[in-house]
Amino acid sequence: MRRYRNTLIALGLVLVSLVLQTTLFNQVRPFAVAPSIVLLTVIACARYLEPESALMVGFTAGFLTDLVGGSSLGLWAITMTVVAYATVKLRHREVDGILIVAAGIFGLTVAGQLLFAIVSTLFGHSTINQPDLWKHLLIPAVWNVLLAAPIFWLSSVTMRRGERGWAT
Amino acid sequence: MLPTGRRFDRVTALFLSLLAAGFVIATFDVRTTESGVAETLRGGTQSLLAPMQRGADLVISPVVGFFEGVSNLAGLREQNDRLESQVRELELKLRQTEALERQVEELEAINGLTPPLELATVSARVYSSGASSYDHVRYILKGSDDGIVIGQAVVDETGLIGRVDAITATTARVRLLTDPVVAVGVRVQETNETGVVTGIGAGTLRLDMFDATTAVTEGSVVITDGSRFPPGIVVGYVARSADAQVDFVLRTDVEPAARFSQLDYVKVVVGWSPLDAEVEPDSPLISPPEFVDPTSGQR
Repeated sequence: MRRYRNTLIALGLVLVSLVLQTTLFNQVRPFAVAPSIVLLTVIACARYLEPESALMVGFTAGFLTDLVGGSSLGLWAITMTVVAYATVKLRHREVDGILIVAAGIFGLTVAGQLLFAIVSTLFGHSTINQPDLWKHLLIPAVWNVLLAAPIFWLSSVTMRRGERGWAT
Repeated sequence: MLPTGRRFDRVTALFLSLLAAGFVIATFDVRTTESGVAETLRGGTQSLLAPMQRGADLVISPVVGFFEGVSNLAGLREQNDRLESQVRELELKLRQTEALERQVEELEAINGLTPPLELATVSARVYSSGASSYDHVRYILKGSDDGIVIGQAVVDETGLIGRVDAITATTARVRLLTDPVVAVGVRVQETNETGVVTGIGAGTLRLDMFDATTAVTEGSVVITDGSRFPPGIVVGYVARSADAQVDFVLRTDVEPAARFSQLDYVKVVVGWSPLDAEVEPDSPLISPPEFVDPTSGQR
């Protein structure tokens, strides 16, 4: 029962982050690049969910991102599924410390953004040829590290389980 | 509780299945036309999300505006002085323009010319953007109910913004000029030579001219040539001078006139039929006025 409850909460958080991503960060874009808070929410939720639920939430979050975005459907779904899978694999490692957590979020965001660029290029969007690709890789990652505290706190408060893993 | 090995297998199997599903969906979306299932899904999602996004926008916009105002407070006095000076200059120019307009009207009357009609536009508020930093789309609060169809040009007071590429009854998606899939037929105002401006996914645009005989200079105004969008809309300014290379091919950068990061309100040009009208055969396109031969009276 708790599993379904947490999955529903995670989907709710994804929806809220999607609305914020498309409204608040439509107006607040330092260096013309917004954070990727849907990706960050997937990372935050995947820490607490069952592995299968984490993958399903990642896929759903990505698919919703595709639906309101301008690229082909399925590309963010692939990307966020991979990020959720990586988070599920990493969370069992007994690592601690704020720097390690920040490095993990930074790395997963960069990897997610890069994976999207590669996959979308495979589907004809020439994303990887963009002259300022590095901005799309690094700026959302920095943003995500800064925004991690409130989003991790929110996911922790709403989905906290008995066991705690990576980045708790 | 399943053994660890089997559990790992199940998770990996689900992971691979979802990846495969993602690739299948992407392939279908790339292969299908704009009226396919994907567009229906997009339209449905946008209709569901739009009320939430509008609500969030109503709360967020004043707050963001307030903080922007506070952060700009220091420069306001200087800006005010500059604007007052500009107003005085513009008032002078306005009086000169009014005099010129009267002259033009008189000349048109003498020569029996009909002045060109202004293009009909629909103003719309930008309420949302795409969901990732790679997206070059904006959503506006006007849709097919307001006479908007796919392909129409979207402008603001500075120039061309992009084109409408998806619509619902009450909202429309605008694909910005900066998107690599957008190409616009243009003319360099100073030389009158034509070319194509394409988005490159960044702040600047790329200008390609395939039959260039003269060089373009930095700062030259680039306007639409009337092939897809109404003619004469400012697209941007040549960012660096360039000369024609072998085979008269010229390539340079164009700084867009519009500031895509600060879009609040835009106008959709509805009084001009885009050339891709056949894509939307049932769309309420505005027909050109009927031509009546003045000598024979025949239509």
